[in-house]
Amino acid sequence: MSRLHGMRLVVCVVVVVGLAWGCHSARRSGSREAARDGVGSASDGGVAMRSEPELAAGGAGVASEIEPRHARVARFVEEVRAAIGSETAKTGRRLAEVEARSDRLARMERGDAELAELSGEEIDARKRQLREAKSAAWDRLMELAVLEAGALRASKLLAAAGEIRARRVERAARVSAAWDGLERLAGEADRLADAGEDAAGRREVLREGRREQENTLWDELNVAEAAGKELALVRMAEAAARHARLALRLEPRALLPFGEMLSQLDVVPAGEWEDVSAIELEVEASLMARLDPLDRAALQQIVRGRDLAGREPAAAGPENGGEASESEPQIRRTREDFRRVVLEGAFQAMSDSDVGMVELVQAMVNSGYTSAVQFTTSTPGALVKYRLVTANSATTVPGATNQADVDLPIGYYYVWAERDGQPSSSPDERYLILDESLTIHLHESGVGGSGYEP
Amino acid sequence: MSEEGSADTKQLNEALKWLALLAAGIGSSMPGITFFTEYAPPLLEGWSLLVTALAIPILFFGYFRPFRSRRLLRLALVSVVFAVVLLIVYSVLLNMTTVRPPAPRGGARFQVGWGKAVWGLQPAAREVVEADGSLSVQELMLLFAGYQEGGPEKIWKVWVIVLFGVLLTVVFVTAFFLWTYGFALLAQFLSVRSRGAGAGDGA
Repeated sequence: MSRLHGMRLVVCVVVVVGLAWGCHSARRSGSREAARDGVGSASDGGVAMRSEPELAAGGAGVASEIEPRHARVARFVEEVRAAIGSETAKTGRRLAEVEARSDRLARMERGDAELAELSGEEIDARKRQLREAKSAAWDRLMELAVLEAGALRASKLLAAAGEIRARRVERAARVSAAWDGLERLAGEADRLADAGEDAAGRREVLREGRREQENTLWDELNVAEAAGKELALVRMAEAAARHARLALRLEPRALLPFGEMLSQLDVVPAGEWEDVSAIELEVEASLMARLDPLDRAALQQIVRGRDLAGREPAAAGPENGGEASESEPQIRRTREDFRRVVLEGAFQAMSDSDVGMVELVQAMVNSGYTSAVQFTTSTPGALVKYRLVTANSATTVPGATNQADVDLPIGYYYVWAERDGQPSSSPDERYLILDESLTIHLHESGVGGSGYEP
Repeated sequence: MSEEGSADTKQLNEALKWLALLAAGIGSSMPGITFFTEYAPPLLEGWSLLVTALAIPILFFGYFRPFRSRRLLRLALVSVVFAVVLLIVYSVLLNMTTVRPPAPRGGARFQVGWGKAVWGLQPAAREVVEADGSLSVQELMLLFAGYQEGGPEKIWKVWVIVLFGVLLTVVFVTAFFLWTYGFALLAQFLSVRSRGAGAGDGA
């Protein structure tokens, strides 16, 4: 405040000094001109007196020179007055501000004094008022925050709505494209339908062709079925031949007359054919008795059926009441057909995809390891018995030493010799039968006596 | 004329390259096929040639089936690795569940059960094994004359023999298929890579 007052005083002093200097300089200027005019008059009066017109003219010139100066001085004075006025106005405003501030200070001082004079209750009441005002302000602030959040959310919703609208536009474009595609497909479908109608016509033609082809295939199938029946007959013949071979193996006596008959067919005199046929029928009867009923029927069909030309079952033999009056060529043909059918059946069975492969695999699969064992004793004529070391029952080797030989599965065996039902060699002798062929010599003790004595 | 000649030469070169790669794949799998032929399980003894004859269709199937190059190599390696693992398993199973006749006979293997494990033996064989634990499987087979058709069934329970026989066969066939398939895929991978390199050179 003191500095402000000081500044005002300085300004006032400067203004006053300026005014004083201006008045002084104006006064000095007027006196100098007056003095100069007086000197001139004195000199004129002193040297030469001027006339009145000359004086009047001189006064007019001086007056014309002084008037602009007066005008300038007057403007200057006016300016100074204006400046003083404005400064005075400023000063007044500043003084008013100073007074206002002084009033505020005074009010504050009074407020402080009032506060100092206020009691605790009043202070609390004011604090309460302030708190309420603060609370109200917070409420307002919260409302503003909620409004701001709402505005933010609204802006987000607007943005989402914009995206959704963009997507809808995009989907609409896609739907439009899909619709175009559907229309194209509908066109394709129409064209395909037209083509389908053409194809239906062609299909009818093809169906007709297929029916014809099916008929042809059925015919071929019937032919093939007939051929299959033939093949079945051949297989039955093969099976019958196997059983015949087995029966012949089981019945060696039957083999001799049958073989002899077959070998002598070509050299038998014509008058003895009836006897040969009788032998043949006897052999066949012997075989038939050993065959299964089905195989027997098959063999009968093969031998006497339509596959073998020249002999009817009714005329086969005397047991049927027929006459054995077949000629030699008929019987020979019958035998040859029999052989042919049997051989062809066997080959057919081997080359057939099912039976042949099974037999081939069976032939390839290992069926076991055996050893051809020959048993000898110092004195021939003993029976040989053997048993596995883990078995309880013994088996007798067919034939007597030293003609006893047998194929045994490889393994550990007890082998001993027996004479008259008594062991003549150690029955606890264990042998490893492993080689492909082997000769085991049994050491008998007490031969001719009461048997084996350990 | 020269352009046609060069095109023919290029086609011929590509065909020869293809054949060489396929031959390399087949040749690489040949030792495996030999193994599979010689060490077939007893149940497949008669069929091993037929099984190994499937190598050619499998090779062609694996060679001509289109795969992506990266997946091709991975599949090939996985197939071969699995085949090797299965072969190891197969070797163990073969030694444990099959038996040859003793020397000097030798010969084909017989399918049996799981060694001398008593849970798989018939009662009579169990008694023998419990009486003499030092017996080998070969001696057990000899004691019961097991080296004949139906012989192992006198020593081991039938379901045990069938179980291990089928298991052995399945492992064998799977290993064989994986082995062959893996090499076929490897050949295809080499072919694809070679074609890719050729295309790169051409570019």
